[in-house]
Amino acid sequence: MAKREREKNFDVKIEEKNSVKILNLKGYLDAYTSLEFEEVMKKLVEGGSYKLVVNMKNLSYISSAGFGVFMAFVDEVRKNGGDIKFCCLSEKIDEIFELLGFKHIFNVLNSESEAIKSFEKVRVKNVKRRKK
Amino acid sequence: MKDKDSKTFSFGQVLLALGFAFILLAVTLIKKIFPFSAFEIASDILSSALLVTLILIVQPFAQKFEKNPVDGIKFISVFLFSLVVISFAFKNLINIQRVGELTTLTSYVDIISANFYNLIYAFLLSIVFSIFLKVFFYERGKEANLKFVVTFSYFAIFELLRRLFEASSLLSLLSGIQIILFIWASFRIPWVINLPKKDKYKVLLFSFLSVSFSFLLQSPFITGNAVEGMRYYSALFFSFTHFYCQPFLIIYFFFVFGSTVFHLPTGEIYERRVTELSTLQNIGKLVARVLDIKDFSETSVKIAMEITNSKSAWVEVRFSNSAQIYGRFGIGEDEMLRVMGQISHIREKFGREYFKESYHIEDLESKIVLVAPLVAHDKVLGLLYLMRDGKSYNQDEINLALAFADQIAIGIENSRLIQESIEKERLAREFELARQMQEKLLPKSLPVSEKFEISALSIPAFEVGGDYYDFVIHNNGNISLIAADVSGKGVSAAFYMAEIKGIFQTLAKIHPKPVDFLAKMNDTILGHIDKKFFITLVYAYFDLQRNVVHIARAGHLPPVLVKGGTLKFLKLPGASVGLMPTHSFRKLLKTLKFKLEKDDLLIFYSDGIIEAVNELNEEFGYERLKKVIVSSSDRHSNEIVNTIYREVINYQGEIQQVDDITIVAVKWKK
Repeated sequence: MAKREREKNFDVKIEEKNSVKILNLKGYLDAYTSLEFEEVMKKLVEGGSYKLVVNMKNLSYISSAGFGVFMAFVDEVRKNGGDIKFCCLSEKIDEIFELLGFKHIFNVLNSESEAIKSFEKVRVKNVKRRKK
Repeated sequence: MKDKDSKTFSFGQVLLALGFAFILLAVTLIKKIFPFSAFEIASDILSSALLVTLILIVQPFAQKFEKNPVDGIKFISVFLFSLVVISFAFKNLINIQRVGELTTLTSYVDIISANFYNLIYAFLLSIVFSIFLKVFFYERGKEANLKFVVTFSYFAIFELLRRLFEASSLLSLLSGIQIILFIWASFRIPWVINLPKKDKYKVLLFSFLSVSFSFLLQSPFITGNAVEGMRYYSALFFSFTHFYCQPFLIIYFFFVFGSTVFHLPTGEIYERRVTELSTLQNIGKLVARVLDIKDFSETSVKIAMEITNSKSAWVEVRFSNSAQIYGRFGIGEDEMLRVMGQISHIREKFGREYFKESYHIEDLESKIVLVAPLVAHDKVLGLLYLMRDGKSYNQDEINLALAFADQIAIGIENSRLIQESIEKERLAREFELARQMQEKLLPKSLPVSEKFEISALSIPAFEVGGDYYDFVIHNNGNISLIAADVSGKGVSAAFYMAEIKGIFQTLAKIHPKPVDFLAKMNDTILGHIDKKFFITLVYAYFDLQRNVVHIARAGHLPPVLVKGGTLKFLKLPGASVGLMPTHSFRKLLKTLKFKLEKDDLLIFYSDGIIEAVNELNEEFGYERLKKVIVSSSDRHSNEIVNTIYREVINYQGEIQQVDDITIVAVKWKK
């Protein structure tokens, strides 16, 4: 009876490093859990967190609805000078990113620190730009 | 007595009783002339028969007191009083004379009045005795039967012995034992304990009166010559009344009195229990009826507050991540929040696994707060707060509070479950609607041509995943094929499928080439659908004149091409439709164009195949798909599609299909 569905556990833990919010996703991000995740994202974005790194190291599965959550917020985040960046994709999820074309609209990095750093570069660039 | 329904006295029995009484009259009159002991025995037998008949006659009346000992005692005392009055009245109506050792009645008139007296006495006594038996046996089991039989048998044997031997010292010892037997028989009076207070006072009064009247009936001062009349009438009857009935009544009612006095304080508790029970029952009913959490928790909080003698009360219901206050009584919001703040450490502890307290009492300055968790299915759904000044809560009140907390918890749980089932029902209907929509959107028939065979299969998951395939037959006979997947599930997915169908059927005719079509489609869709949604698809344009196919992939899973016996996944570049502006989208797209030859096989499929999992949670994956296609590629396209589907279903085993499964196979014939 328990075999009816695969486990639909999903969890997101948020930490902050250098004013960048790191979202550690775990489990299955599907049509159901994406509703819960959307709430989390909504709170973050409404709370003024625009620099987001999504760590997918422990994410087992992501469905199109899961991707939809990022789509829903990316415009607003970018409008406010932030971005959503992804790191630490498993081979399988990386393949899905590739197939769907998400790599063309999102920045995907190999490690969390790289992702955080990439935000700093933007800041430096901006500073330089202003000086000019 | 066998006919329990007969409420009236049986006429036959009355006649029989009168017959006995008449014969007794005759016997007593003869006894006056011939004082033989044989007549004594005859009158004893006759009086016994009379008494038994009378007892049978009054049974229907006594029956009324079967389950009503309080009224029973009342009537006993009333009839005992009448006995006292009658005895007192006949005291002077019967004259006696002593002849040597023997006491007899003076005249025949005395004998007749003694007969009257005894008949009335026997009648009243039979009523008293019958009711007494009902009271005596009330709520008692077989032990009472046994005790009664023992006391009565002892009386009978004792009477027999008394006739045979006239040793007085032995007699007094034996009558002492009779008293002990009465005490033994009267020892347990269970019905007194549960009486309401009012009834207990009644029982006190009437048992006291019954004891008093029985004493009066024993006293020569009241009965006087009447007793002699009875003794003359029948010595056995005299013994029965004076040595059996009255002592038994005195002792029994003495015990009733004592037991009532003893249990008087429990009356209050009992009454409260009854109110509590009926209140809880009402709450139970309320819980079953009212599905609105707010409504019934307010009602139950109010009752809980009243019944636990609290001054204020409220309930905090915890939902997934917020708490809601319901039914705040006797306290302002500010103060309530202040109190909750003061005991926040306790509030947090409830619900933690290590926290084993079933309730908590906190002493805040002058106020006592009782916190009871609302527990259902081992989960703490919230907390019930009861508060009052000064006096702490006793165990009784705590138990009550916990009972109410349980009821509220059950109510919350029920309401939640019902909401959930409504939601489930709604979803099930939504999915059903989506399935119907999807079914209608898929093509009714597939194109037929001598150049190729085409087969398709689409099995929606319960939740409908948004898989879609379709064809457009152009005017020149060329064919456009689309295999798409809309993100999301249910009706919204079906809705977007409908939109794509419209776009595909119109745009493909104007822009048959893949890149043109996809760019136009992206243009049409971007900004017009919810940001969250995007569409993955493969578009293939079959040029039947040239035997050429143009394929482009927009985010969808790479189609499979089997050509010359080798299998290839066509991983063409391209992003999903609806993700990015058309100029960027178009740049990414690349059309693959190649000549089709005999036995070339193209397979389009959805992620429902690749992501299908087995019981070990392993995905079907590309490798298995590859294997099954290779093994079946030489068959008819229809068989290929079915083989793939069967393979996936077998692989899933008992696992439910989570996503739609769509397979479209095109096999070139020429």
